[in-house]
Amino acid sequence: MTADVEVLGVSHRFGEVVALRDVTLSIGAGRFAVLLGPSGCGKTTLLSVIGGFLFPSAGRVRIGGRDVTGLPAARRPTTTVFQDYALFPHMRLGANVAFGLRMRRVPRAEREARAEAMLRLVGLEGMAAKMPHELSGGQRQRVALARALAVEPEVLLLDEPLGALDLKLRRQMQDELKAIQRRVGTTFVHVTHDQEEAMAIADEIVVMNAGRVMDQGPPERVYLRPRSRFSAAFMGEANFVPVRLRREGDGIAILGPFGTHPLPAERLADPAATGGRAELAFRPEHVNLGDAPPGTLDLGEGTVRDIAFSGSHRRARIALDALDGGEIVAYLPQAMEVSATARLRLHLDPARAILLPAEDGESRCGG
Amino acid sequence: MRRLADGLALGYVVAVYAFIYLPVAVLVLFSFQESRLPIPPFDGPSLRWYAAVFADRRLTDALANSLLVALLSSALAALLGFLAAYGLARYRLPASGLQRALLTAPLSVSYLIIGLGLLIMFSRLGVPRSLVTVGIGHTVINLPLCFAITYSQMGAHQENVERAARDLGAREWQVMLLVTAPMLLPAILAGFLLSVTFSWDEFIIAFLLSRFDVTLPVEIWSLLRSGLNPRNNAVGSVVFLFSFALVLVMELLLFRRGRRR
Repeated sequence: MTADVEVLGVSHRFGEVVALRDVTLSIGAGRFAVLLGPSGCGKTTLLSVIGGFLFPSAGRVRIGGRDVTGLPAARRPTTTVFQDYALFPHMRLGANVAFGLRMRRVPRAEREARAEAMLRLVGLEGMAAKMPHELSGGQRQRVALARALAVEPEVLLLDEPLGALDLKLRRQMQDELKAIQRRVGTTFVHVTHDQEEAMAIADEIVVMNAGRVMDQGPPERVYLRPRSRFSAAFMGEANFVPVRLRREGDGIAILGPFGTHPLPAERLADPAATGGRAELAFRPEHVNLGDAPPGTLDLGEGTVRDIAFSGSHRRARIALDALDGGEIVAYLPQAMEVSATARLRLHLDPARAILLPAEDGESRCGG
Repeated sequence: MRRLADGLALGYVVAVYAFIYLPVAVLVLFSFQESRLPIPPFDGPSLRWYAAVFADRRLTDALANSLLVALLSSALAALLGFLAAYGLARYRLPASGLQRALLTAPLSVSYLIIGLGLLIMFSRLGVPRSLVTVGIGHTVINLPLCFAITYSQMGAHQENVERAARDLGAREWQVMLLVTAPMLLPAILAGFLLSVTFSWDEFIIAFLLSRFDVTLPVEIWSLLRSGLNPRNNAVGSVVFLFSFALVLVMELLLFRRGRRR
């Protein structure tokens, strides 16, 4: 079973603290959506609102077209995988997984068979008689997943489920989560602060900050064409250079430290800002070396300040002459041995450039 | 110098344990006395005084009464203590700090005051003194203990587990019965067993609130008025043995569970 999730104008405050500000988003049925953002950005609060553990101060939540805003968790077609797993410590795995079915008065024989099938789905076949304390963290994680899926929810909510696992296990569980989601077809809403994890598993990423949705879309779009400075910076590394914009024929031109350069108009996410200030953003891996061929954006010369070997590339901080010594980050080829203080000439493919509306002071929430 | 310090330390330890356990050991030893006086020289061992105890209807009745009162009042105290702890830990209640203080306050009130208060109240209400009133008195003194032990073990982790149960469709009573109570079983059991030992040898409240049917400590008190007698030692030994066994059970049960966590 699967259903779509709609969040309409949801706000929530804890006393004086505003955790969610007018959040509106929709997640298609059967999609794997990831709520991504720094700690305290409201993503877990939003998950609790969808799951029925918190009732928002304002706004509506719809699941499968049905308004569930006032329904408690028990009566929603959702189940949650908690960050600390929250397994029943006094029950065997079989009883843990079958708990939801027991609450739905499914006969014992049937629920035992279903529990066993669920344990098989998560790779814990034949372990129904074990107790939770006999398991490793990764295995507990799987039991929590099996328990939540056993009642065939329309939407499965996952609250940083991989947060407590070590990196290797984490990457492995990501692949498994994705595979399991494909098999059961349930809508997954997954919360994380790890952008690599988000990109690895999501069909749809919702970037959040300070209680607001900053961007929503498929990972590729959010990474390559972020709609806000925050999501550009949060999804991997990015360089930002303030520029001015001018309309020029069908397109626009950017005016700034790198001279005047024409760009197609659709490059700017918010065309209303045309003519005003904007920010040119580009990813470190899109910075190219050498003289700028025609049609590319010339970044001019710069001095290498610092360089570090990062496996697949070399990460360099380069002070650009055009920025009066302002630094950018560029990923240089793995094979290229560059000394600090070397002079380099750099350019950028305009197709890779991102134009963002300028933001006056960016609000972040702490905690 | 070092050996002298060790020697002194050893002497001190022996003295402390002797101070605590010698009276009990003497009492138990002379319960096996053959002759009629529980004083040296020891001329046993003999079980004749134990036989006398178990042949005495009044003593065996009192023993049964004590068991009944201890088990029922402790079960009630453990149940009420659990419910109070659950309510105060899981719901936002008005003046919850004050309520917690009021629930634990009887721990610091003397049993004599509680006993007298209950006595006055029961006679005003026309409730006759009986084992029921004794049981009520013991519930009053043991409820704070059960509450405090259970409440101290209720943490945020269990709250999340309860949330998971609700998420899977459990109703409130199912959450309490199937999830919270089993998770808190060690604490609830500890409160229950401690309550049983306290109720088992409680004298003053039982004395004030009982009439025809009495508990063992009250019966022993009336026996003592007839002077020293190895039979009293034998009854005392039985009381001690029971309390000791309870504490042992508690240690084993809870220690074993504690290690598994």
